[in-house]
Amino acid sequence: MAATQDELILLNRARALEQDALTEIHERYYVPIYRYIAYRVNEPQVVEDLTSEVFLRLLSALRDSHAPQNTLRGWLYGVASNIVKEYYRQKKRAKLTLLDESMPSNGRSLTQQIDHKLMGEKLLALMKDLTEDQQQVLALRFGFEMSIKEVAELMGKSEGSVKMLQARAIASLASRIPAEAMAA
Amino acid sequence: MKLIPEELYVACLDALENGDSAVTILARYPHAADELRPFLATAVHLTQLPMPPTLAAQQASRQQFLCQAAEMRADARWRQPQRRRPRKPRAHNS
Repeated sequence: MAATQDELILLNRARALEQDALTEIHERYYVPIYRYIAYRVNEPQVVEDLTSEVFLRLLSALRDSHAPQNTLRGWLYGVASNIVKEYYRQKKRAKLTLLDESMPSNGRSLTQQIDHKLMGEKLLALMKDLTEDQQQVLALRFGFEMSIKEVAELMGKSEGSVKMLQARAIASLASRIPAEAMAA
Repeated sequence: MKLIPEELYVACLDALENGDSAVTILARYPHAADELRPFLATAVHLTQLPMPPTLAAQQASRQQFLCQAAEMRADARWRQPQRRRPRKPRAHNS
């Protein structure tokens, strides 16, 4: 992903730990990163913690000279993506040790569970059943608000493949949401 | 239910991104409107999902970020090797 001149200057100032530059980075990227993570993790408190962690890792990288060389946006996305994966790995480990605490399903059908007002939340919950690539595409497109071209560059795919992944993901979600919820 | 070619889904998403409304797109493909309706509704919902962070969370994160950076700046100064002062030339009283 090509960096703009503006981003390169910002990055250089961040390397010197300039407070204004760091504040600007936080202002510019907090919401897109939050939204990206929120598309992958459906727990607001966890999303807040993981988003903050992305910025702390940027500082560690600056300190250890592992800082992004020229694409801050792409680098932050990569870190956010890894943090989400780490979160699910840890969660999976925790689940294995706490199996007996898991709650049984209440047995209601998806149709019964869906409330029109909660369609957004249901969509996010259903996203977990998509493939990893499909989740990435939706989170980057609608969370990070990246263009098809940017997503293609980040994921190392053609723009056509990204469009197809996006279409399949949405078709898959649509097929699992009852018609009455669509009117919401 | 009809089987919709994936290219049609892609074309619908392109049209949405170019600013066409779901109603306009459905009118363009009347033969597949029933299948496209839930697809387009889902796509529109995804773009409108209200999930902004709270201002408090954003401020707390910025505070933590800047505090950590301030600690690092202080630490970097502390670690910097002290420069030796140039020695004053000795006065020779010869």
